[in-house]
Amino acid sequence: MNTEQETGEKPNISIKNLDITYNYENDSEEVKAARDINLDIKNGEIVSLVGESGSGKSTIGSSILNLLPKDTLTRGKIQLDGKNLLELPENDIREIRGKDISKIFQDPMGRLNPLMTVEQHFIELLNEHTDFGKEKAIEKSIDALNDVGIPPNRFEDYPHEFSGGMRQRIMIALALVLNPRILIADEATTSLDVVVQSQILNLLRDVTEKYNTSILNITHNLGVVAEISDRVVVLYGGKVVEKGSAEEIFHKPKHPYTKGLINSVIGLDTEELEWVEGTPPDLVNPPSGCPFHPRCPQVMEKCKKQFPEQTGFNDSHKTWCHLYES
Amino acid sequence: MAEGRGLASYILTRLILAVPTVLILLTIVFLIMRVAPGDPAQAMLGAKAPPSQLELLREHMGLNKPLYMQYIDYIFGVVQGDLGKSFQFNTPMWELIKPRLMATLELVLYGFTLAVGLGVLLGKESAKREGSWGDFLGDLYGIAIYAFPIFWVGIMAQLIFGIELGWLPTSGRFGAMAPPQTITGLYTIDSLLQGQIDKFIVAIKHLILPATVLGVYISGIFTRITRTNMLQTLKEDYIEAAEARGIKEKLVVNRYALKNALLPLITIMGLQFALTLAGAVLTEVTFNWPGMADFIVSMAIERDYPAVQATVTVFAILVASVSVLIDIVIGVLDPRIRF
Repeated sequence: MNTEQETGEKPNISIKNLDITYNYENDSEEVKAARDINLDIKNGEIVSLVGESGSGKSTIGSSILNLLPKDTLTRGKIQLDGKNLLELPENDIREIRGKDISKIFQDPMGRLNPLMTVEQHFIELLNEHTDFGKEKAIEKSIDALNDVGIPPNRFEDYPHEFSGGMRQRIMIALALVLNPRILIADEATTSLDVVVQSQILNLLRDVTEKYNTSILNITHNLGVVAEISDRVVVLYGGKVVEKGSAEEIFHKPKHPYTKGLINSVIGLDTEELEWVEGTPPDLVNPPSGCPFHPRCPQVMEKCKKQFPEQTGFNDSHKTWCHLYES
Repeated sequence: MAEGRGLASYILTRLILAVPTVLILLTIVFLIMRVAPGDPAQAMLGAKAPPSQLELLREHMGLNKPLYMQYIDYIFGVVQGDLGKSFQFNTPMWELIKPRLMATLELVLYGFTLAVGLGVLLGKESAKREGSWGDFLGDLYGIAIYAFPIFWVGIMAQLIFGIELGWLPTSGRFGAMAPPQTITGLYTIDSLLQGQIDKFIVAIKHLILPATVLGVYISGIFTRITRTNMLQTLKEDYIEAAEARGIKEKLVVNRYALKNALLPLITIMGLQFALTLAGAVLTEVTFNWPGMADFIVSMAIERDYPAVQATVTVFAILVASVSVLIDIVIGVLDPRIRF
């Protein structure tokens, strides 16, 4: 798959200058969860958003479907087919949810209605977004379940009769049954055990390849990122600090934060684990300049004053760090 | 298929488990009647009755038998549907109780339905608007309505709708007209079954005030319980997941949040049913409703012990049956409970 070019092919979804602020009605508790986010995702591409808790990665994922809490201010654009999703009326965005853009979550255990069978979940979804007759709806659902390895004889079972991994497969089947263009996977494998995790990742890759679906993969787990991503976007304190192909981010990381993240992954030959010193920034009163400067081992005077400009190493690999500014 | 069998065996288990429950209830009823002060025979014949007469009556009532024999007689009687005979009327208790029980049931049925409907509706709307003025009013209603004395509300309703406005009758169950022929004993149902619309209207008119007073009173609890449970279910993960699938808000609220919130509510309904019977007693007195309340009070005053015992037995069995029914309803609604 094409990982090098960000230009050329028309993006599937395009996020431009996105700012997200929580509690904006209350000045003293305003949380600047994301600032000036720019991101294009192409057809069939798997892009990972990586960062610590509080880096803004889940917030960005939720903003695409307009699922943020009421007291949240969003600015900028999230464009799909020339429409700005942030400005769509509730009814229109609801039609996009589950059909053009769908989402799977962390912890699949409680994501299905315990009082509804798998079949009822599918029929409800297909009734909402299509005018298939019952027969066609059932056929479609069974195909989708088949894709994720759930046998048809489990179609009428209730959620509590499935394991966590199987429930996540069902969630994936529900997310993909309408052949969406984008799947947002928010820590979708985090609560699963390692074997199931890798099964689910393979499944995601296969199924999305089959239907040419893009994935926005939100995670803090770099192992997951390395396994499936085409491109990686590193977030810190609500800002993008580096982006590039998976290859570039893992083998030629530039930003001191990205380097720290990668060094803190446990490998077989790890003797002493390194980590990034300090704690994530307070987003109510974010640090001045580059949000990473209080923890940065290579901090300079200007890092405290001013957020760096973009430095490009090639068409895909970019970072925002004063170290590389010429 | 497996599901059907699971449900059937669940229901069977519930029914079997109900037997000891009822037995314990009956034992308690029996014991309470025995430890109640006073000698029933003496009470009936008066303080100056000759000992020979007392002895005769005791023998007639079975009071001279050993306690365990009395207990066995009582239990076997109940099992065979024999609640004993009233002393005053010398008729089988069941014939005396049945019309009154049906009157109470008709009142409770309408009152309870109204309470559940109103409570669930207000609770749901409150929860959807958490923190708003509407929510505050709903919550206030839930607390305030329960704090009013029910008989006072009843008297006010009589005063306003019965006397001032003259819209509705304030007492009795049917007025001077001949009630519909008994099929079920519920006038509204019987009149409809026989196609007598005029009698149905009379029956409904008499029901409106007492059933509304009873229903509104009890709806307060249901409002609060529905609201609390829905605030919880609205925060569940499956709500967010359903929204992300683009399911309409109305469906998310009703099919996901409300349905899951109703499960604990239904359990509480079972417990509330007993309290509704107690509330019905007060309502019956206020509205002169010819139900169980009036009956049990006059029987107690007359010291008709078999009648009191029979009435309490009927109440006990009724409450136990409702609790089994609730278990079954929950089993049907919640797939996780069947085993």
